[in-house]
Amino acid sequence: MSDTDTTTTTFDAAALEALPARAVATGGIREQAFARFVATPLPSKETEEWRYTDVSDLVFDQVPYSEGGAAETLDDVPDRVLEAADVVGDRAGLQIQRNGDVIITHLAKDLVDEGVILGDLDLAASEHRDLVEEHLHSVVPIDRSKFTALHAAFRTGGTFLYVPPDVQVELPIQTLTYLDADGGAVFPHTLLIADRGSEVTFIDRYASPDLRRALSDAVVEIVAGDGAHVKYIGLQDWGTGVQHVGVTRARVGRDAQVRSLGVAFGGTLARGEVEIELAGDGSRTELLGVYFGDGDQHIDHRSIQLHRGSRSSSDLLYKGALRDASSAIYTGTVIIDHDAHLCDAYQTNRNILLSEQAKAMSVPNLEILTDDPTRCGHAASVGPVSEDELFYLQSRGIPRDEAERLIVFGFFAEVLDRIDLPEVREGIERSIEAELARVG
Amino acid sequence: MALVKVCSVSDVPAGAARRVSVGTREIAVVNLGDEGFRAVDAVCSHAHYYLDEGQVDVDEATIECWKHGSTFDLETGRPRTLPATVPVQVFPVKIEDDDVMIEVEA
Repeated sequence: MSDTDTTTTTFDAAALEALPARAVATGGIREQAFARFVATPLPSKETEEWRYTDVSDLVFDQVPYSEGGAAETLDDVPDRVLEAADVVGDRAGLQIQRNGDVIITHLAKDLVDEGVILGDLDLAASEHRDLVEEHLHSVVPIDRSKFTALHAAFRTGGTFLYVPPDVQVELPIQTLTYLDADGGAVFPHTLLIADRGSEVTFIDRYASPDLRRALSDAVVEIVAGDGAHVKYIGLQDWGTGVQHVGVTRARVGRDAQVRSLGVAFGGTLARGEVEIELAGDGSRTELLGVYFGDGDQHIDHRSIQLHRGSRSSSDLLYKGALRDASSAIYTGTVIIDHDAHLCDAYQTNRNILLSEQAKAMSVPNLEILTDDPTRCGHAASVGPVSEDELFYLQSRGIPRDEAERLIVFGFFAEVLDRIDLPEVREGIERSIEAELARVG
Repeated sequence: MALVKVCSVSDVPAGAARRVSVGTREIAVVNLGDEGFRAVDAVCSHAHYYLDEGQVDVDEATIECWKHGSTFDLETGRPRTLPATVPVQVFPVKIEDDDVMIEVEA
């Protein structure tokens, strides 16, 4: 099959036509995106961006849209979906998407009264047309890659969150995207607009049972207005069999800040691109990442810290553990633009290998186009569990498995200590614990 | 399982709830009028707020958490509306004369 041949894919004109009627509000985008998807070749390992992740055997033959249903009350939500949601913690808002449909949404009444909007992106495209048209795919353009074009063409559902100027949302808001359509595709999309001076924490969680095969093609767009504070937490917990490609991109205004945490435990292939555009003077970002690979899982993280505003600062810390025959690649780039003065940027990626077959690679890059950065640097490491540390702990009577567990938790503590939501931290610790239990 | 007297029928008006303690557990006893009494965990499964301080819907047999608005089915304990996603425990209730008895683990 040639790269542009769509005759053997399920993502064709007929499938586009067959999307639910409510999903046509962004029709202009869909047609443009579909044309782009057809015209764009699959990413090749010949390109720097996809050099370490081979998707040449990825076939677009999933079911483009799988119904998730609708729920008046939670009585209509299947038990397995609620079980996947688990204990979500104290939340101001919660939305559940199953497969291609947002099935239920809740937002605290006082926030509704303050003008906060949380809901299905398809509905928002009708009910808040101006806001959606202004921002949808303004941060992640449809032509960024073949995957973003596919996403823009076939997305249904998704989360729209708008926080009006100077409104502080104290409790986190969360969306669960649950996929149980084996052989299907899902296109999670979060469009988060934090207007000037506002404050919000948003948690995106992707979950599924183990599936034979499925595709997750996700986009997260964050617009942080001047002085806004946004925390974004992405918890990728797909089951095996899911191939996940996602782009998270934020545009950060003057004196605004975006703090993000990306957690990747699931999926057979998990590729996450995170790009923060520090557009305004005095803007700031912190990017944290935690990942744990097992089996033959391949985890690919790419980050870009793009400094366009002066006195902007960024700090990235990604840490991962790999076992079995899993592999991870981290590629990070710091760009300080010509007109961005007195910027501060740092990136750190560290990997710990728990088996001889596991592989990790770290590729940091700096592109400093100005002559006066305050600080700009990077650090990277890949290595096995230190035999010296193991020996030290074992010499104090700690069994080898427990010693390794302590070392891995110590390794991740640098990131975990910076997570200020206890239930999120505890959830990650449980996932690490489960991964380590499987090692034994 | 042990049957424990937690209050009198007259302590809980129809359409209302009352919080009782059994050992370390806090339980909401709900009077559904003609439909009898129900008992569920007093603490909402979503966040630490008391269900007995919320609204009882006799017709729907639900109780609503006053803080975030989740309603719980008093028969099954299952949440009917977000943001709660996890059921609260339901306890069997028996009425003996004027006593409300709840069956709890010994």
